[in-house]
Amino acid sequence: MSVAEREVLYEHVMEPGSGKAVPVLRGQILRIEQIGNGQCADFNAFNLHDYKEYFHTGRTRHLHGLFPAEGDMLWSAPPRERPMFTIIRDTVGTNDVQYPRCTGFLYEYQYGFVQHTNCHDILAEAIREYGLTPDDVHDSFNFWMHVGVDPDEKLYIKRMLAQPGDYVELLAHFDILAVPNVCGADIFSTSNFELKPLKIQVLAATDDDRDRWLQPEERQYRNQRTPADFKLKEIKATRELERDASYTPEWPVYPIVKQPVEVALSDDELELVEALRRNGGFGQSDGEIVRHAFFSWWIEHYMRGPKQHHAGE
Amino acid sequence: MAERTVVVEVNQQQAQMLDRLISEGGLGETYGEVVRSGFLRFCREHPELLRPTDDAGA
Repeated sequence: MSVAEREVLYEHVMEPGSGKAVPVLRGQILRIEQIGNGQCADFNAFNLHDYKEYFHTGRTRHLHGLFPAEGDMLWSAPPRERPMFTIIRDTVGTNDVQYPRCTGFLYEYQYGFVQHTNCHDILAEAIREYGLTPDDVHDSFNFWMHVGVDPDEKLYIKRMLAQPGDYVELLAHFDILAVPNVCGADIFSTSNFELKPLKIQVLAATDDDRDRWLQPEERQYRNQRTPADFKLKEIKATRELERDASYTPEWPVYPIVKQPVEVALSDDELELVEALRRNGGFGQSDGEIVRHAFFSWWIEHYMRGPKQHHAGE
Repeated sequence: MAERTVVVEVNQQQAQMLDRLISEGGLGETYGEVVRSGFLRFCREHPELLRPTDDAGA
């Protein structure tokens, strides 16, 4: 859908070295667009009404893989774990949630720069507009960052593929402070060794957008928690840590108690256990092997979401 | 038919999963029957894992 079909509520061009904290309310769309020839945008996000709920690369990576793209969601951190945004349009499809935001330390350690543009400091300066501190910057969603995994299972940065006019659109599922920035990396191939501006817009979603993409506002699972569920509901206001002398642990599930389950197997069926033992990826004892195979079967047939399990490996 | 008992240890959370499978029916009435059913179904569905690996005996 073209921008012309949606009302533009806000527009801003982020120049190199800068970012912008911008509210994107539930049902609105944040559009980030390439102006130049390929620029990475690092991205943070906070619940506009409770900044302790913020974007989490880990859950996003877990549920959508190493390179989330169109149709995938950006999730908030545990214990909140709600979809913050859905990527409803992505004209390139190369994004990254492995690399942390670049930092001043990184450029000093690796290159000797005393000062260099870096995403952490840019994000920190952007969120200062809303009273947040450098400690509130978190691992970023890296739009257009083109990343590979080499044969040694190490990450590496590929050449940026985005072209002028490429864009991503994110539909917000609750009121969010969105914080994109122009990635400061000009000495990696992240943005092809050149910093370029990016245009951001906040757009009003159409009825079709909302019908297709918008998630329910209420939490869908009891374990998508809020401060009302916490034993300590207030945000700690001092930096010093002091032990609570009255503390006694109340672990959610404790103790863990095992029980034996007797599984009767015929001689022929025991041959299957032997075959899986030879496979090598199911354990050593008969009980381990049967349990591993049973739970592998359960994952394949009952588990919701990404399986992330290769039986026997 | 000769039978032998294999002991599988499960904890209380895994037992909850077995309870659900029993209540859904079709796999057995006891934990042991359910685990046996799942194990055998897994083996039927993955004949490739039951074959000797390429480097066996190498």
